[in-house]
Amino acid sequence: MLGITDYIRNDLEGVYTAELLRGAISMFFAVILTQILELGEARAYILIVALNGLRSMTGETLPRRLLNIIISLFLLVGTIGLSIWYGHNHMYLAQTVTAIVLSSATVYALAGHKSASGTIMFMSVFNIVNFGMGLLDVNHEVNPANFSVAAGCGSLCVITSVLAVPVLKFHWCLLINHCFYHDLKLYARMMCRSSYYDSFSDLSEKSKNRLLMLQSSLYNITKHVDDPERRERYVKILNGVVLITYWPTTDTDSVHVAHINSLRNSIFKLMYGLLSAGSDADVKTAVDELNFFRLNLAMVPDDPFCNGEMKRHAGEVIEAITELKMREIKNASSE
Amino acid sequence: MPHQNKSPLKAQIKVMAVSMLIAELAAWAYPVDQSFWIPLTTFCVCLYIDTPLTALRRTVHRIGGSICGVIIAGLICLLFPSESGLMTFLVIFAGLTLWSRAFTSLYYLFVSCITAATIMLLAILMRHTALTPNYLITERVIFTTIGAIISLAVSAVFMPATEKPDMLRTYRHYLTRFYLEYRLCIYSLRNHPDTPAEKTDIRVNEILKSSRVYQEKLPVWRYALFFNVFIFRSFTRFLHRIHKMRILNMVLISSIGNLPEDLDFSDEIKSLLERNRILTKRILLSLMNLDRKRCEQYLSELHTVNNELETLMHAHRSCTTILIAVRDLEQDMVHLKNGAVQIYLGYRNQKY
Repeated sequence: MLGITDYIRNDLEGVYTAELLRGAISMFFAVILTQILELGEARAYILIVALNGLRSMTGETLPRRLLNIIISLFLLVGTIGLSIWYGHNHMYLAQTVTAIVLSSATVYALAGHKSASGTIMFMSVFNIVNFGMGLLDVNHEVNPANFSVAAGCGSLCVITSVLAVPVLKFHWCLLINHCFYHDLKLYARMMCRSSYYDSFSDLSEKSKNRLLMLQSSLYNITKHVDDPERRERYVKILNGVVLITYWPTTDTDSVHVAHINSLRNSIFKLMYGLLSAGSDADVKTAVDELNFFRLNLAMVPDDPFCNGEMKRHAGEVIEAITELKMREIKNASSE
Repeated sequence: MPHQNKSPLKAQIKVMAVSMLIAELAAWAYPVDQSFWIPLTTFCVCLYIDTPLTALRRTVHRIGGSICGVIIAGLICLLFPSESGLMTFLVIFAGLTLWSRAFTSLYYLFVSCITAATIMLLAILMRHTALTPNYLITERVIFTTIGAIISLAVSAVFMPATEKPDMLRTYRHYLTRFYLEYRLCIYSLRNHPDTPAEKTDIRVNEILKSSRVYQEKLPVWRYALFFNVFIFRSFTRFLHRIHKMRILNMVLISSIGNLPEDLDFSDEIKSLLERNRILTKRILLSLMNLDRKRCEQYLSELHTVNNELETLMHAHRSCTTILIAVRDLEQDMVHLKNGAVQIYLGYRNQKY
């Protein structure tokens, strides 16, 4: 199932979500207007313009964005009108030429003029679809008068939704942290359930793919965290977790391999316990367990092969994650 | 020769224009309502393609997504035929279409949603006519298939099939990235403790960023190696191995940073480290040039150098992780030399 974390993972900047909200608002008003107004066959154009007129939401400031949207709406509505006219009059040659020019322009815009590409793309789509609609409308039920009213209403819905959601991006705030913990939990669960391995090559291809996907996801989420202190800790966790995962054991004896594996297994198991903890009390218990593990680790003599480096990385990961969790509990209780 | 077109943008525009011309003519010739769906599909498939295989991938997603959309919308139209029901589902599918745009790699999901939304819209528009299976199947699935096949055929004629050289480029690119980082490790080890900390920084972010790039390419290569799943899987394994080798460079840097300040290597160790670096470079260059024989020769020399290094550095207890990592990397390079990808690329890319 594609859940909320999958969605956030794919829209970390919140661009699609802003568009989704604008689309929903615009469609909501469009449906109401479709039910209220008596425009015959032309009323569908309220829905079409309302849904597809939002693609030119670019520009630094709101007036600039509104201007872009208005220009885009003029172009889109003009294209629809022209295409219906072509359809009514069975102008196949003109339609073919227009479709080729617009679609080629779309490819060109996508390569070099991204901001204009949305408008040109939908001009192409509208041109193709509405020529077909024009052909179907044998009784010419869509005429300039009712089409203008419908297009105007659709445009009004678009402008309203832009004013209601004027931002280009959304920040996920606390949800992005939830997403980080979610993916880290999956990573820890996978690592603590992986069977004993001599080298990384022993892991199955599926596990490697999954690990890499989770690593990329954690890295991407970290990039979108605003709080610099938190971001720094996330980077520290990611760094430590990746190093622990791939720590080398080639050509060393079985005691050393067992030691590295047990260290790896323990830290991921405890991390999984912490990340799965529901209540504050459970989190505190898991934090205590992790801290106790870190203290024990510090007291155990260094492995003759790894000079305590893996222990140091494990300690850094534990420190970062426990501090984050304790700070969150503290902040929650002070609110 | 169409396959020697040097400008991808020109090829894309040409494919779009020719495909649209054929699709418009097909729609004109097809005496059925809604034949505009043919050029519409052609346009959508041609939009983000740069090779015939990306076109094939979009075609498969487009047809599969359309079939799913038709089934979902058809069931809804049968179960909720009232206008309010259709309107409700139109809004739901419009929302789902916008939602599915976030999953850019799951194009079929977007196509399913937009097909269902379009059918809802047309069902509202054509309330006076019955929504027949003929309308749903002929005018959606068959037209979608025709439109997608037009763009697929045109792209096969006009677009260069660059996946295999692209694979070789990627292979070379990641070997180079690994070497640059490894060189940094060896330099900082050789010059220890005089290397400043800021010059010995390998960022996990950089490694993960480039891994993400190849992850995005994998679906297209899956199509390129559709009839050679074994090689595709070997290529995936190669990319995982390079990723791991780059992480091992991080382990090396971390271990070097942990070395005691007063540790100063003898000239003999320093010269062996330099030999190790030069041999690693030669191994990687022969891998890039797909010359396995030469690679084998350098690998055996590297093995000797690493044995000597191990003997000399054995006294320094703090260097054990470094030695383990160096050995691990040596074994990784042996795997690369013997890997199916090296043999496959050597066989396929002699002309590049």
